[in-house]
Amino acid sequence: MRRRDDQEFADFAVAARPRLRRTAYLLSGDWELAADLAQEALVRVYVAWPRLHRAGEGVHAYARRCAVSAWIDWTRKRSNRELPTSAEVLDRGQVEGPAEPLAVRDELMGALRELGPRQRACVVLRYYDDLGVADTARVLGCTEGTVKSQTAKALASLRRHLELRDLVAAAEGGL
Amino acid sequence: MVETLSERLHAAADGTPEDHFDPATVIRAGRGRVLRRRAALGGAALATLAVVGGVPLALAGGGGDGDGAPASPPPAERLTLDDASPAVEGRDYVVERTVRSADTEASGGPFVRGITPDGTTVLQRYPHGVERTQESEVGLAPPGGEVRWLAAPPGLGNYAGTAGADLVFEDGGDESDGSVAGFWLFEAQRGRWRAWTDDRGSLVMFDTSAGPVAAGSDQVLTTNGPTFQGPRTQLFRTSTAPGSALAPFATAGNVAQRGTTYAYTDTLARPNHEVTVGDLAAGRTVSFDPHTGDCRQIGVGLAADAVVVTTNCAIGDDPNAMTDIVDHIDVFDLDGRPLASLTGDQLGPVATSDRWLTVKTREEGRAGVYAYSFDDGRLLRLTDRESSYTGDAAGAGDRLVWERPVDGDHGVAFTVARMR
Repeated sequence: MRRRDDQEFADFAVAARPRLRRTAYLLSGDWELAADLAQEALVRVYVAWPRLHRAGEGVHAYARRCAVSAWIDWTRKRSNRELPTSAEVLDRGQVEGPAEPLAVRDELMGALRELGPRQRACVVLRYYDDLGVADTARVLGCTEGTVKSQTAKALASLRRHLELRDLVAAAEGGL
Repeated sequence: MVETLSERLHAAADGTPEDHFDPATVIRAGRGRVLRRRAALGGAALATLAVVGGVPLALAGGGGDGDGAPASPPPAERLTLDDASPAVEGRDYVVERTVRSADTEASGGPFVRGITPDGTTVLQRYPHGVERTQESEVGLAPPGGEVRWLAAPPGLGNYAGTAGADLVFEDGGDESDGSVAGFWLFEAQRGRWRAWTDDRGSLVMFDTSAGPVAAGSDQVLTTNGPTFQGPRTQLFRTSTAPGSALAPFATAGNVAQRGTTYAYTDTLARPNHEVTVGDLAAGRTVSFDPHTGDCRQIGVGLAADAVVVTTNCAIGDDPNAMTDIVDHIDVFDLDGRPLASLTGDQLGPVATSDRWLTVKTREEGRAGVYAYSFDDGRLLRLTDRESSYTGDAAGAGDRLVWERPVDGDHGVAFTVARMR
C-alpha cells in the first residue's frame, strides 16, 4: 500500500482494535490471547485492504470475521494437543474489574468457558456484537439455521448457572 | 431493572487492561506477509490458496490429528520436522551465491525470485523501496557470474517460471488477493520484454492461486482468469509463442507443471479426492485418490519423479478462511503410490523443485527452512531461522535457495546452493 493508504489503515486499526480485542476476550477469556487475535485480524485486514475497498465490504465486519476465524483456528490447533484449554487461559486472563462483582463476572466467563467455540462465538456475536442471525452466520461461515440451533444450545447451557438464569430467559425471548 | 445478557457481556469486557498498541507493528507484519506471499506466488512454488496467511500465533498442537484429519492416511514414510538433521555445508550443500539485503523496506531488495532450469538466479529489486513496487529491476545472474540488471516493465510481479526460451513474470496484479492481471515475457535471446497475448491479441490472464504457470516446456497449462475462491477453474493448453490459441484442457483445482509433465487436483480450497498426473507429449494420464480426507486442499507440486499434495486439516470449514499454511505434505510417485508424509503445525510456504522440496515453518522451537530429498528421503534443516520478509523462491535441478533474517529481521540474506 502507499503511505497515504497506510495512514488510512493505521487510523482504522487504532479505532477498531479496542472493540476487536474485547470481542476476542469474550471468546478466549484471555486478554493476552485477545490481543494476539486482534493483531492477527488487523494484519489480515491490512493484506486485504485494497480488495476490501474494491469489493465494498465493510472493513469492520471483515476484521471481526478475521478475529473470530483466528480464534476458531486457535481452538482447533490447541485442542489437538493441549488440554485442558480455556480453564487455565481464563484464570490467568482475569483482571481487576470495576464495579462489576467479580463473582458474577467469573460466573459468566466460566459459563462461556464450558461452551464449544462455535456456541461461544454465537453468544458473543449475537449478544455482545449485537449481530443478527444472518450476519452471525456470515461471520461463522455457516447457515442461519446452524446459528439458531447453536445459540439455543448455548443459552440452554448457560441457563444451568443460577446467576445467569434471568439473563438467559430474556435472551431466549429474542431468539 | 432487569439486566440483559448483552449488558453482562459488556460489563465483563469492560475491565480492559491497558493496551500498548502501535499500528506500525501491524503494518510491518502485513507488509511482510504481502511480500512473503507475493514471492511465494512466483517460481515453481506450490500452488497456494494464497492470500491471508495462517495464524502466526505461537500455537502448539499436532497438525491434522483433530476432526479434519485424513480419513485414510497413506501408508507412506511418516516424517515430522523433528526427524530433520542439521544441514552441513560441504557435506550436504555447496554455496554458490549469497545475496544480502539489509533493511528491505528502505533498500527495496534485492530479493531472489527463483532459479531458472539453466541455473541462472533471478533477482528483483525496487529502487524506490517496497512501497513503490510498480518500479522494479530484474537481475539475472548465471552460475558463478555477475548480476546483469534490467529495467523491468511497470508493475512487473514475480518470476513465475520458464516456458521454452522465455522467462515468465507475473503482472503485479492485485497483491492482496493473489490475482494476476496478466504476464510479461522476457525473451532472453532478444533481451526484450513483451506482454503475453493469445491469438486474439488479448492478454493471457492467470490466477496464481491455481498454480504456477509452467516450468521448462514451451507448452503451458494455464488458467485464463481469476479463480481465487476455488474450487475449480478451467485449464487451457497454450504456449508463449505470439498468437497461440488457448485450447480448453481440463477443469482443475491446483495445477503444477514441470517440463511436459503436469499434475492437477480436482478441487482447490475444499476436500480433494483426486489427483491427475499426465504428460503433454505422451498423452498418458493417471488419476488417484491422495486420501487427504476432509482436509482442505491447498496446493500441488511436481518434482522430476514425484507429486506433492499439501493440505490443511486444521483450518476448519470456514469457506472464508484462507491460508498458505499447511499441516500435511504428502508425497507420491507419478503413479500415485505414497512415498512420504510430512506433518507439522505451521508448514509453509512449500516449494517443489526437480529433486528437492523446501518448506518453511514458524513453529516455536522448529522455525526455519527444511529440505526433503525426493531421491533418498533425507530431511535436512537448512537454517533454524525464518525471515518474516521473504518468500518462496523455488530451486531448479539440484539448486535450492533459502533465506534467513538479518539486521534484526529488517533484512534478509538469500543462500543459493547446490545440494549434494
